[in-house]
Amino acid sequence: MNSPSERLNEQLEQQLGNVQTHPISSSPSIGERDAEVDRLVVLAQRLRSAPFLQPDPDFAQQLEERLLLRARVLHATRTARDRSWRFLPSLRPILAPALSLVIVLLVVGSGVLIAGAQATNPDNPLYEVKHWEQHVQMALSSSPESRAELSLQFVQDHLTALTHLANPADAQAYRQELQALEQEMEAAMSTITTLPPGIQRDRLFSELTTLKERTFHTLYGLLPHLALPERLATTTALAHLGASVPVLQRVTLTLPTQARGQATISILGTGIQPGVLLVIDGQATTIQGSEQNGTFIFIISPAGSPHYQEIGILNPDGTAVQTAAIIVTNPGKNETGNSTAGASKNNNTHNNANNNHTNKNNNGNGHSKSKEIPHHFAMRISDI
Amino acid sequence: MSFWRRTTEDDPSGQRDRPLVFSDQLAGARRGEPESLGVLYRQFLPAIFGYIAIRVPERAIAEDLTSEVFLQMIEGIGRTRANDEASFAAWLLKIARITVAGYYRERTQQLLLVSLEPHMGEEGDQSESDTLPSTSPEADPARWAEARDEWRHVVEAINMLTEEQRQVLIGRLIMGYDLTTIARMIGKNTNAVKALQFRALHRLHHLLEKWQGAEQGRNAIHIPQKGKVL
Repeated sequence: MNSPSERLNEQLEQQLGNVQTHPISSSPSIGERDAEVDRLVVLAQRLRSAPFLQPDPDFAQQLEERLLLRARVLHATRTARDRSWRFLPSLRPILAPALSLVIVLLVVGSGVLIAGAQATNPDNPLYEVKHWEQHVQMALSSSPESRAELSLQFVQDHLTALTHLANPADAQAYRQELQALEQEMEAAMSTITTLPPGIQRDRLFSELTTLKERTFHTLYGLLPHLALPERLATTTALAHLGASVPVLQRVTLTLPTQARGQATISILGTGIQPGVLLVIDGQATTIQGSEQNGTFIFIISPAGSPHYQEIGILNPDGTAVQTAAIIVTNPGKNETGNSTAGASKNNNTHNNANNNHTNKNNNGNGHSKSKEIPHHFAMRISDI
Repeated sequence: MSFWRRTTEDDPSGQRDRPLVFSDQLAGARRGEPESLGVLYRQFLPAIFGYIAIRVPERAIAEDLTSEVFLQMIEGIGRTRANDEASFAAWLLKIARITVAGYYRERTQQLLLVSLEPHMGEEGDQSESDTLPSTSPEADPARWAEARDEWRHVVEAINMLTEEQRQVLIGRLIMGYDLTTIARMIGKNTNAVKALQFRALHRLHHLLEKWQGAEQGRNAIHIPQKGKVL
């Protein structure tokens, strides 16, 4: 025998085809049904026919009209929205070129900015774009911390650029980039110094220190690839940044006692290395100095009365420095005097022979004359 | 009811193309075609109204909630993933269930907030007229009241069933679907639907029997009063 649920379902199914013509009470098989299932079938029949569950025809009609009205409103709204989108293709002849132009401008603009950011040569027209980008970035930075971070980033950018410019062909660009690096490093240092003590300040100081060491290492590595003017400039920059570079404390030119005699240049300083070469007026010579009691002595054979604008040295490691503060002595006349740039011709002795790296006149930045010095400088001097 | 034996299954009884017809109607309704929307509305109105009317004590409330359900159908028919009659019915019943639940939630809050207001059915003739079935053939106010009270107990009993039991009863008795369609609607197999069907009717019968017993006892005590009314 089937379960009650099966029997109930069977009886409900039996009603499906003759529910209107064969009420439950007149079903021929009623006698076979158990009382419980019969009661449930009657209840189901009562529920189905309960007037409470039948929607009122007027209500049904009114609701249908209301729904259809709502549907029309919605449809009209969606159609209008669709039309606004469909309107775009009709504008295609106008919009397409305009959109294309905008896209091209965006692509070109982005490309220019990206290329500008990578430009390292100041002769490159995009180099100005790079500077503009940096200015904009700096102007948009809202806090000293972010400005310091930007400065550090720019220092690194300049350093990278210098490695690409370390050749005689890019001398001018190299010097501009070097100057920019110095300025940016100073800016970073200045900004970080003003920060209140704390983790951020310590972190930025640490980054600055690391970057400085990297800068020293990079610049020292670039020296052998540079011409003398750029070596002088790089050495000066290294000095500004606090690196160990040669310092000229006193440069003395001792004039020959007779017309074709030898002159002596004595240089007292620090950081001067064995094998150092003499530099005269921004030109390296092959005259090697010899150390005597801490002073490096260079013997030259000038023709006539020598008057030099600047005298300096070139270390074997590539660092170079020169000064315009020259003490000129003339043993024959028993006169001594201080000489600044171009003043030695007066044979005056000047006591100010201290090397000053901040003096633009002695850092080799564009002040060396384009005097051609042959390989055997001493011989030419003597020939003059 | 004319749709007592309705099915969305292919069968040899001439209803093989029903799913296609329904899907066409559904597609048309999604495009906002009034005719398709009207067909869907007329097809599901008895079921949705029956489901709601069997759960709320007053016809006016049932009509209001039914209106809400179909308005939501109009709004959301383009978004529903239902693609056949069973899933569409399940979707509509879900809207109806949420709407009824919302009604009871609001009603509970109103009773808590405005506890001094008279309860439903306590306001006399004015509210009483709203609760009477408009299609009731009886013109006798006493019979109306009796029928209303009886129906209120049916509603209470229906509300004590589980949601699945309610959906099976609605699907079978009001919508006229077969077991397979009901099974797809509620995500059960046909045997489970049979069991749910039996338990639903059995529990409903039991609850109504209890109420009837209590009512008979009360009538026995208050016979003079009832006779006075009559």
